[in-house]
Amino acid sequence: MDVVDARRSVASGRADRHHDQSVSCCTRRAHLRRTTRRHRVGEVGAELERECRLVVRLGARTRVRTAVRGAVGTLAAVIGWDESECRAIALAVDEALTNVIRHAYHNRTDCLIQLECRESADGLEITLLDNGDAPDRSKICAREIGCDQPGGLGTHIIKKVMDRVSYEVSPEGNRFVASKKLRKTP
Amino acid sequence: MKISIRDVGDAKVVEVEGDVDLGTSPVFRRTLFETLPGASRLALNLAAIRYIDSSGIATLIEVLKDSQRLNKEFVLFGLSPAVLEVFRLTHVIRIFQVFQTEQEALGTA
Repeated sequence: MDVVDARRSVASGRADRHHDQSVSCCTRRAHLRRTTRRHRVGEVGAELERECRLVVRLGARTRVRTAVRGAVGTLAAVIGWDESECRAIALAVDEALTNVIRHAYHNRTDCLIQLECRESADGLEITLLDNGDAPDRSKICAREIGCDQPGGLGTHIIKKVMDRVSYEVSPEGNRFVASKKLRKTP
Repeated sequence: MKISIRDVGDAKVVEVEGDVDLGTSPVFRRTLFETLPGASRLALNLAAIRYIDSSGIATLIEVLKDSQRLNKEFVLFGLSPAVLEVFRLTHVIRIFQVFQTEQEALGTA
């Protein structure tokens, strides 16, 4: 299943049983030999390309989330963020995935999410595609931050970590896009 | 995620290790809610937490509110860098009693 096929699967809203949790990761580390392989459920692999790019297709289950967080954090480190910022970026991506699983797919496990993280001209861009219910904009960052109410913190975390966040409904499904600029210290 | 519980006088100390996320937070939540009524003070050691997301933070807030309802003390100690960062992002650190060591958390320092 390539990216285009995965997008079709997302549009159809189904997770392919054989590919629903495949993970591929592309980095520009020079010492890596160019490799291309298909990954079985739950595996994480790497291939060399010119740009830093991570494409993940996963079902709405939680068991590969640790691997996804690790891969996102590694990509952020390769682009140039420090350890603390890498953890925060991985957290923001995880919160976005949680929102899709809980609110778009209502915890159903037979659905597909596509995550793409790629190096942009000035930092990192994250895109999530799903075919669940459209996000309720009235609930995004709706609660007051810092109060003693549980719930609704995820969108605040995403907003604080990332520089730009958008929630769109497209023909391919729901599209979440977030970006962050890499601010290099002089 | 691993959770262990031990008694220290009238208090209970809960140790958590690993990741608290959408997949593990239901067990985390159930353990804390089941432990809270049996102790005058519940001290939660967060030093070995590698990762916590908003579902874990929401659980901590829920337990805090339940402790207030039950007239119990719910305190945190040994916050790992990962936990501190999420507390900073969500601005919730001010609503908890946070200590550095177990002795301080139990009031025996």
